[in-house]
Amino acid sequence: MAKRPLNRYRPFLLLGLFIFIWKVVPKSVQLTLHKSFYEFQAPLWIGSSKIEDLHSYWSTRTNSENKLIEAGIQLSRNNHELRIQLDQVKLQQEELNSLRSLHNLSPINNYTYETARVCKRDLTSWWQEITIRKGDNHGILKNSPVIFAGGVVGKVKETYETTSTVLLITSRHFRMAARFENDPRPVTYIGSINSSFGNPKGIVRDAPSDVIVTQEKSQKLVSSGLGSIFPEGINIGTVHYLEPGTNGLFKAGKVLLDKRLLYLKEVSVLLPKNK
Amino acid sequence: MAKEKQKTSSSPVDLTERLKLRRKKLIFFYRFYPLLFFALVIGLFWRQVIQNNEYRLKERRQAMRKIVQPGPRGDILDRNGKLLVGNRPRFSAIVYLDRLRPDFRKEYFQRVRNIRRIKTDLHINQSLKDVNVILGQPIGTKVGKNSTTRLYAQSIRVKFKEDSVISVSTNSDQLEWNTRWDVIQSYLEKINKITGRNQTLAMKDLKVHFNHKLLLPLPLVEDLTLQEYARLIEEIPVESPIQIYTDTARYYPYSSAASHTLGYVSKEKEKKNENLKTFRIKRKEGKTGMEKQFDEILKGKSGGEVWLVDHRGFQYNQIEKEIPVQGRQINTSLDIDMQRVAEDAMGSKIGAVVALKVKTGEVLVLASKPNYDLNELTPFIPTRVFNRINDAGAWLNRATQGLYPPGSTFKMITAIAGLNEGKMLPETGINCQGKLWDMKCWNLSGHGIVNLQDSLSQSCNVYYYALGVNTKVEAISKTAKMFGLNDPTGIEIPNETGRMIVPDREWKESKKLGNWRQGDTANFSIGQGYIRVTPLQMACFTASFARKETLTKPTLLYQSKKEIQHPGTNLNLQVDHYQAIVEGMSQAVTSGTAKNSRIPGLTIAAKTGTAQVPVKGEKLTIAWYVGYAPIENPEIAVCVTIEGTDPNDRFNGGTTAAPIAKVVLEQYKERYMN
Repeated sequence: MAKRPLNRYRPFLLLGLFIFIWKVVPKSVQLTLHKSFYEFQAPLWIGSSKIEDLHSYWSTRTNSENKLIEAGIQLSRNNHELRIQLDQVKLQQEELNSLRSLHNLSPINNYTYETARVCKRDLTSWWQEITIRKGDNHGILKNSPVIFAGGVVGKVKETYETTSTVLLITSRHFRMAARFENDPRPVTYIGSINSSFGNPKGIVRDAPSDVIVTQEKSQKLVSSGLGSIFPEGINIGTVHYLEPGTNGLFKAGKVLLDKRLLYLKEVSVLLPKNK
Repeated sequence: MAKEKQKTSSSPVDLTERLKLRRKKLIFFYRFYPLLFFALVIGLFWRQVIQNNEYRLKERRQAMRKIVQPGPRGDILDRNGKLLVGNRPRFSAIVYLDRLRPDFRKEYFQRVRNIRRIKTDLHINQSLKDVNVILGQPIGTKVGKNSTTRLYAQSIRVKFKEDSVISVSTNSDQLEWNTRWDVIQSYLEKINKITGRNQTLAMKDLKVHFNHKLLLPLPLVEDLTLQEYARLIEEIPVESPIQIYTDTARYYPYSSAASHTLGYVSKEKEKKNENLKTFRIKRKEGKTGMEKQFDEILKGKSGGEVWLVDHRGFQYNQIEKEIPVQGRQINTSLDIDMQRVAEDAMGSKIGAVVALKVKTGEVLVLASKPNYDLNELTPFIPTRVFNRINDAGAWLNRATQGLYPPGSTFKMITAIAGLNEGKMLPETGINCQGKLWDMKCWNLSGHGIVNLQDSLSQSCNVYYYALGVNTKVEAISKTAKMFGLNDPTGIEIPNETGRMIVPDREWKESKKLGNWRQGDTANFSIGQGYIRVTPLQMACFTASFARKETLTKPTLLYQSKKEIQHPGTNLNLQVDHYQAIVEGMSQAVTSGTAKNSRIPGLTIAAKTGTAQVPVKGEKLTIAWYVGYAPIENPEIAVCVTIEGTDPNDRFNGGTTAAPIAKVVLEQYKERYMN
């Protein structure tokens, strides 16, 4: 009978004990445990991701031969089109580089990229992170910008041997320097609270009071390139309205982000050439 | 015991009497207590109901703090809607000390533990050398002075007697301040690492902020560049105590253009008499020019927050919030393109250019040189910049504060006085032989017979010596005053000078300069001697003359109406007399002294002038040009005044001032007449 109350509180006591131990163990031990936690789990995530890829592969194989031939033809057309575009881009890039060298400006293309498959998504009100299947072994660096076809995905938060976690642009802990497409003045983009299945959104702050945005005349928000992480001109999202900020000095508003951020399968990590 | 027995055995009568006596004694209290109770109730009522507001206010004062955020200032635009003065974002890296409290506390206790450890090694009778070794100081260092281990040594008080320790205690106040400083400096180091700066926080600044501005953000790095701002935004975590604070600084897109007219701002002086203890983010108030004149319109409405604070003054709950509102914008009459053209034409010359709309009195150009870059004066004026501007004499707005003798541009007034007094006719000729009495004409070989038109176009001094002496000083002075040369114009700029002089006999006597002489009148007739006017006054005179009126009220505000009612009256001058003066001014442009301002397709009436004024024992030459155009329907009046022209220049006004006026008139023609 006397032991009963103690039994009732046992889970709390254990939790308290665990927290106490966690607090008193040295920082290095905490870091090692934290890292190991991810490293041990990583094979599971990679495995399940690869199974998913395999599943996709086999489901594609079940398609009829005709369908595959049609897809192949379409793919070859797309490839051809893209090759032409790529050649044009190359020419323009060369011209741009020669013009920049004439003006003694550094070359604009300071990044290489590493493509990575997404193996895990944590998209809740608390966490807005993804895990990618590339890490230290592939030269991924902490704080590297991560992009996809729709624009900014986020930045690398932590790197492990074979995986990395990416802090998504939708996260409340994400912030970057941005600008409106046709305005060089920098503004601040911050992620906001995003629910699991809602349309991804963020917040823009410090917009000059003369920037006019309406539902009919929305403006694109792009990276400013002034900071140390993101190169210039990468799409962030669209701003449909701005209202006076809380200090009455500048405007603030909501940024609608690309919906594809919720279903990312592959991203590119930009790696600075000089590193 | 016997006595007690006696007491208890007393008769019932005694007892009753005793009770009566006691009641008599108590009756005072029976009446006094209700009275006291009543007074207590009244007192309570007084405090709770009557003095309710007072105590509520005291409670608010004790527990609440107000933060006042000024509204952004309004914009100033030119007449075509171009932004002359706006606001630019000003980014600063700041920390709220409130958010650093856990860091302060953690670091403080860590240090207390370390100090305790150190203190166990310190004993009575130890020598200074021993103490230095324990504290890690250079041998011979007094504790707390020039310490290499400032972290702990300053926090320990060690008293010596004859080089032996007699007591050891903890200087907890110093420890607290050191801890705060170190915590904040560690955050500042992070900023330094990202921005490449090397800034440190002064302990004095920290103490001032902590004691007087606790609820306001503590600026660590102010006026960040855009790159620094962007780097900090991206590299500092969102949840860090370091925040990027954005406020505004005045922004002048045209830098030095119209600097004297637009003016600048500085932080307002401290304000007291608030109900609550108030932390005020100082607003900017206009110090000069239009920024000062229209401060009430531009300043906007302050917003703010009211916070509940704890016993140490740290905020913990927001009670009220009001968003600040931007001030209203002002549309000036200035044309910034014309202003810039005029300033460019002046180059490095010292002087002023004024251009007015003849009908409305709107000021299109109000330039004064040397000027200064307004962007250098915001958010504050560095001493280096102040001294540079001061040494160049650029603080003076020469258009409204510069006092000069008007030289030959005054001859129109002498002519009007003479014509009105009937002392001559326009066609009356006077023979100029190069001098009259001992007073010379600029053309020493003489102009020969000149009439009014010739005298104006050739700027003959002899003609006006004779005319002035004949007309008398009283009439000339009266005419000058009629044109408002004795009074400030009342333009919407602070500090317009009121020290202009239109001399006469009384003035000279009042200044104890002796009796008025004939030579004084002759000098006065050609705009020399004691007379002093500003370029703006001469521009107003020219506009008034062009409208055939006596006064022009200049304005810096854009007028939507085409014409406004000016003070003053119609010019009481016969048509042919007026025409003769205009003809003389026109000839000055076509073939006379003002020919350097000739513009094909534009009829101009103008008069040049050259005056000398003694400055520090030397003669300073002043070149003048006044004129208006087009003659048939006057639209613009111009006045150019240039100091210190080339002494070898024969027609100072014509060669130095006229080309500048020409550029302004050309620009006007191009922009408003085609």
